[in-house]
Amino acid sequence: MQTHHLILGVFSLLASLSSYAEKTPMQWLKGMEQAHQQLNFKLPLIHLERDHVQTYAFEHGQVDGEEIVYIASLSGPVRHSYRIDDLVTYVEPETKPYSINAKKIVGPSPMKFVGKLEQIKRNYSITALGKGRIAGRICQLIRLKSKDTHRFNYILWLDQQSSVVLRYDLFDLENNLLEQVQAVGLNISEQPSENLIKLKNARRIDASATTPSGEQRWRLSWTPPGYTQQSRDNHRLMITAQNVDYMLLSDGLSDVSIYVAKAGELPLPEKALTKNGISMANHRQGNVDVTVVGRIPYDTALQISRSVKAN
Amino acid sequence: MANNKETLSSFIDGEELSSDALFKALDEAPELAQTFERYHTIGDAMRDEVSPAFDLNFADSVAAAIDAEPTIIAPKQTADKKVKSVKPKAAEVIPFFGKLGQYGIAASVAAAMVIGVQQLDNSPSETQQHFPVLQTIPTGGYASPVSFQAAPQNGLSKELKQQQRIEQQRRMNAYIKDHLLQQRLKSQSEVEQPE
Repeated sequence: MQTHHLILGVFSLLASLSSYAEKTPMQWLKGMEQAHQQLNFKLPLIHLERDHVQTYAFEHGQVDGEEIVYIASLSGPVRHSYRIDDLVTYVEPETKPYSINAKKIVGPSPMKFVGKLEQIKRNYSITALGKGRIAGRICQLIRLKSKDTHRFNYILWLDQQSSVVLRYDLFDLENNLLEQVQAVGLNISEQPSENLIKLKNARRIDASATTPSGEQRWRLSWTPPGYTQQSRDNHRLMITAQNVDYMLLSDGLSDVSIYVAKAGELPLPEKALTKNGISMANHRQGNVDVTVVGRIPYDTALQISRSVKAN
Repeated sequence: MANNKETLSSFIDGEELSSDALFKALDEAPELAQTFERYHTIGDAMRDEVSPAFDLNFADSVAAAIDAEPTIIAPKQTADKKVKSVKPKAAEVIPFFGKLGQYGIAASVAAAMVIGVQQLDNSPSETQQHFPVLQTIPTGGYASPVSFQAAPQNGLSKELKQQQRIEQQRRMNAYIKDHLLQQRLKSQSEVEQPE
């Protein structure tokens, strides 16, 4: 009888072990989100795109109940940005530092997926791929495969112990690598770093940034599934000083800009692609030019450009 | 010579350059080598002061370093911008009231982002001869050279004169750059999922 109990015990132990090992992909992502919100950590990382390599220092911490994120380039001109709760500040050469009320720093950041789980669940099928090793640590690979052809695919490498994102890869629909962000170390600490504590004490200015909402002369007769309108306005482009009616769509991970402008002398090429995966679709409609730009499949950009209708 | 100094400055700023060209130039011109050393001194001063993320007072020391080196003829734009545009105070939130407010930021970010664009068409060898290879340094303030591979959908591009192509590039460039900027500016209004 005792043996029987023992065997049962062993079985239940095995069961709990295997259930630990078989965390669902969604549980991994939830763990990732928590880790990125709660832990104090430093992460030196490399950002790779075609023809481009840059190294960054990334730090995250909670200082007296405020979340602080810091990203700094480590080579070339000094650029860094930091977020204190909902205030993002960009410090770069050639421009006065400025802040924007925002919940994320735009750029290569392991925080990219935090706060986006609902949208990720809606737009991607999420699967566990197996194990890998990054920064000397064992990682669980999680693949985000788009449910349709309107966005690119990701593979996330989550630290097995802490669930911190140690690497993510962005692939186009033909599985060409467009971007890779990879940590070369992970330093988790009890206390936030001195750097973050000092940042918290940096002078704070109330942010009241709002963009004017534009006259709505255009609408989309089709929006790719999963994307919603984030913002619209009229503004001017730099370089050409052209006035545009502007709309921004986002699915949480990808942003798409839509421009309607007075037709130029020459139509722009219908298709332009950058090496790091930004697609541009140009479409002339009567006396206006529609331009769609984003890191999305070209065909989706084209379809959006054709769905712009006058109100 | 002036050109060489620009090359120097770019090299030190970490822009992509053939170092062969630089080293050759250094060999040929001893006075350039001295300049090289001085540039590095200034660079060191900047980096030392700047490394703490939050310290926005580094402009003073940069200005001082530049003042202290009157013989340096750094490419003018670079030196002037650094002194003038980076004010020694904390970041300010710029209210985007109206088009002009936004344009103000756009203009400044622009300087940091895009140098240009390469557009390829059906005859790449010809294009490469006629078009300078240019770079885009996009968003997040994160430099990333980008070049275009534009595949014309009709025969039009072939017939375009060079000037017209350059104008097209300029316009496309403006859109890409604006997209990168708007991603930042509009992230404030992004709908966040409840956590």
